[in-house]
Amino acid sequence: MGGVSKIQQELFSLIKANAAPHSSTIEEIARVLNISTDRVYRRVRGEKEISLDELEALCTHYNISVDRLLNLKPEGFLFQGNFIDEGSFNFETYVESQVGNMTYFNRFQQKEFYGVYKDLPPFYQYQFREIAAFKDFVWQRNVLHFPEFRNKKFSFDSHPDERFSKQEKVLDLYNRMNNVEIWSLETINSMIRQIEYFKDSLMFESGEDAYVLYRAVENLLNHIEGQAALGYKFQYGDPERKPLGEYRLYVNEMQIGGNEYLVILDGKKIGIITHSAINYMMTRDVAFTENMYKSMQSFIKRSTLISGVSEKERSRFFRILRDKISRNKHALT
Amino acid sequence: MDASEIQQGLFQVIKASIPPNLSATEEIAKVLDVSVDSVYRRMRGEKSISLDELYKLCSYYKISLDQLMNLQTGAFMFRGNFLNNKTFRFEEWLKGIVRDLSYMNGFKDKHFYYLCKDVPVFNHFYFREIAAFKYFFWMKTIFQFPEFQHRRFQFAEYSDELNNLGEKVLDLYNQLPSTELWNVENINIAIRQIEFYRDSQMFESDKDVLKLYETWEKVIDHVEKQASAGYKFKHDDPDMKPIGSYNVYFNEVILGDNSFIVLLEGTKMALMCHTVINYMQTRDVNFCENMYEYVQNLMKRSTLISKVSEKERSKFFRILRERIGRRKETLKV
Repeated sequence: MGGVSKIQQELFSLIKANAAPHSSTIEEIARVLNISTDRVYRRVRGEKEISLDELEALCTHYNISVDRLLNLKPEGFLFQGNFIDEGSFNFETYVESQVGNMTYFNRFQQKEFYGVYKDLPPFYQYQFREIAAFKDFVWQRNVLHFPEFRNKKFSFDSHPDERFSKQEKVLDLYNRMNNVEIWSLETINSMIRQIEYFKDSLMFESGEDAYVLYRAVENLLNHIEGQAALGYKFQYGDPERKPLGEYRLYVNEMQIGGNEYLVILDGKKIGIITHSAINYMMTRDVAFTENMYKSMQSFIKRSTLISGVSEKERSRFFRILRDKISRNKHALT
Repeated sequence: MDASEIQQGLFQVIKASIPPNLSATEEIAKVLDVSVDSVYRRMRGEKSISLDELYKLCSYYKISLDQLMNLQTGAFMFRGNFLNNKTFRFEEWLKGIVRDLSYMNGFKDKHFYYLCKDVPVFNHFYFREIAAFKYFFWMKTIFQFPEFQHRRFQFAEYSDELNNLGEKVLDLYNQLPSTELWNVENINIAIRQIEFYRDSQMFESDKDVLKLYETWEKVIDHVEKQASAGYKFKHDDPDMKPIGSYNVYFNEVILGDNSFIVLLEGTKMALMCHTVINYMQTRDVNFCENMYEYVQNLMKRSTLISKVSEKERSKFFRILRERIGRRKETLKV
């Protein structure tokens, strides 16, 4: 981009394009800059250059990226994301954004979803209402510290129907893609530890709750093992096991993943990083996603494929996970 | 932030990116095609820079104005590099950490928060044996550098140069007052990597394995002693002379992701770990505030095991030691 007038012209065209119809853009700019409309006209016509603070005020008000305006290519990787809070990006919006992203991914012909997990893949939490309800409660009470959860005990009934149907949609859309998951023996541990923490802190409403949750996790593991045996996803409870997306499950002994994902959409890559337990951010930065892809391939090379093939290793792996659950389940009585 | 603050902030970022042996003013004068005096006037804020000059400086020095102006564009800019066997080898990776930690230590008020997925990376540099093993493991197995392809592990191959750099990293980290959030899983990967190499006959003999486990025990002992004292000190210092203050929390519910948040005289910097040991950092205000709040919330739900809670501290470190002890029993030495 060349001279000042061009940058300035571009800024005002963007503002005009984003302005609500039937509103006076000039008057609005005058209010934002706290100057007369005459002075705004002089700036719009390029007779007077805008200052740095005027640039900042306008870009802040109209939510315009100065980097994009100036066509700057700063050093680094640009990530986009949001943080769950109790306001504009609450739990419902978070799940809606998951539906939105998954729907977008599914529009492509080639869609591969790679994940290196330290915890149970979050989409699987939506397989059973009991688990979805519990995990949402843990996030809101113990991680996000939402005040209304402070003195609340956990109850399965508190999970809203509307949210759960959206969560089921997220899982369904995830299952329709081709999935590569890299697990470790630790993948199930956080789930167990969270159930135990709630039990020890007397945060379950009923003494049966921990048992119900362990049963649900066992059912989930059985279903995932069934999918791994066939090498494809199918809906839980489908007697015909009608194939959805392809499924490759690897076990890695040497490294615990970081809940990092890489999505390949018709050859284009998107990297997704989980941070602060549940929030995620995405980038399309080529250098970053290529490095991530290389790292995933390296992970895969050093991992054991337990879907489709390797029945012995698969059975052993799921038996170890189930044993962990059983030990805790039996300790309940 | 008003115009002069933005202008000052811009010149600060530029100065930080110009090597100390060059004159920042002369460099900027060349980029703007103005005299050195004119640059001084702009640096002192006596003259405002134009949009054209802003564009020239930001594009030349690859600076994000969105970040500088803290614009809410829903995006966060991260900076970082990727370990590879050509342009950013392990030595460069270590030097990068030395630079970052030296920078942090340059501040009067500073605090380093570490969310551990594994034993903190800095603790690998207490003893040469562990540093040598981790280096070999990362290069051969995680990053698959070709020159390591057919090599077995030998302690003696770790160079003095790398060892000195590692010690420098540890020394700088120890000067920083820090808070670490641990989980009982943090030792698992260290153990599993040793076991993987043992199974793959990558060691000369079980004596090497024993040496590694005994060294890990020494690290755990030292971390426990530091936790008990509430400050860091050199592992071979009989006087236990205090360096940086040290808080350790035990969190049962969440396994960290090896990310950090650093407070430097009121400003915050977040560092995210990705693809095993690569790091990227951001100063994005929203991102850092969200992460800081997350860490504070986790601390509220964690048990402080440094200085106080002797019983819980002993129990925690005993669990880690028992895991190592069980592996030692299987060795044929």
